Amino acid sequence: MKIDPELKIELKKTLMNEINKKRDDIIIESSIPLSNEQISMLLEKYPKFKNKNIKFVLNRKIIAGIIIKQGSTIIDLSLLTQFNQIKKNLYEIT
Amino acid sequence: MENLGIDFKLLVAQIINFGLFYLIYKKYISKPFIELVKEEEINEKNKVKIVDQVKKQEEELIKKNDEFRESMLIKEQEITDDIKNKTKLIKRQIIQNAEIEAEKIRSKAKKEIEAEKIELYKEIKQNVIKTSIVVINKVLEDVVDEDLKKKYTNSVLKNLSKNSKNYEN
Repeated sequence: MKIDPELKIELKKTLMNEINKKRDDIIIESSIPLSNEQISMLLEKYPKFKNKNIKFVLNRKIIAGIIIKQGSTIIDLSLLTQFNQIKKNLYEIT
Repeated sequence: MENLGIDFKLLVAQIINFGLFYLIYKKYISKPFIELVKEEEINEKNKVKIVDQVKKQEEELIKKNDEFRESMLIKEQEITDDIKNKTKLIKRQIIQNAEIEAEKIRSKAKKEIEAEKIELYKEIKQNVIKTSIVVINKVLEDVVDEDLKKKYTNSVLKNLSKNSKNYEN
């Protein structure tokens, strides 16, 4: 199936716009509400987050740690992911 | 002659009588008798010949019979030997086939046992992993309290650049 080149360009533009918009939206998931001290620590490590729109989400499923989502980028530092990684490695061994 | 008591006429008559008797005897008695005797002799000879022939034939028959029996014995022995050899050959082949079949079964069983062993080992490993995961889950649920969660989050934030993992779509 051939896609009309004009339509393709238009779609690409729209997608890029959406991604760029989302780049300014940062979601930080944590198992407990982050303290001001912890937020400062995070902003210290990522100074580029300072002028962005940060949304804090509580997610008990991740057990502990945080997950940072910015556009299509995800920084997963949760205990659940670590645990899942260990699980995956164990299954891969067998 | 007369003094001697010999009557010449009587003598002549007796000679004639004897001559006549001889002639009659020779012609009518002696010849058939001799012929009969000769015939009997010939018959006897024939009988002896026949008996000889029969004896010969009998001997030949006995000889042939013996030869036949001997040949039969030889043939019987040959057939017996042949059967024995064939039986031995068949026996050997059966044993060989059985050995090959047994080896195949043994090899197959070995492979199956090996595969089962591996499968069982794998299953045990997976069970151990599953159990461990369940235990870890339980421990995490029970042990990780708010304080620990805070400590872990602090630690993660401190080592952010070291531990961070990025997943980009």
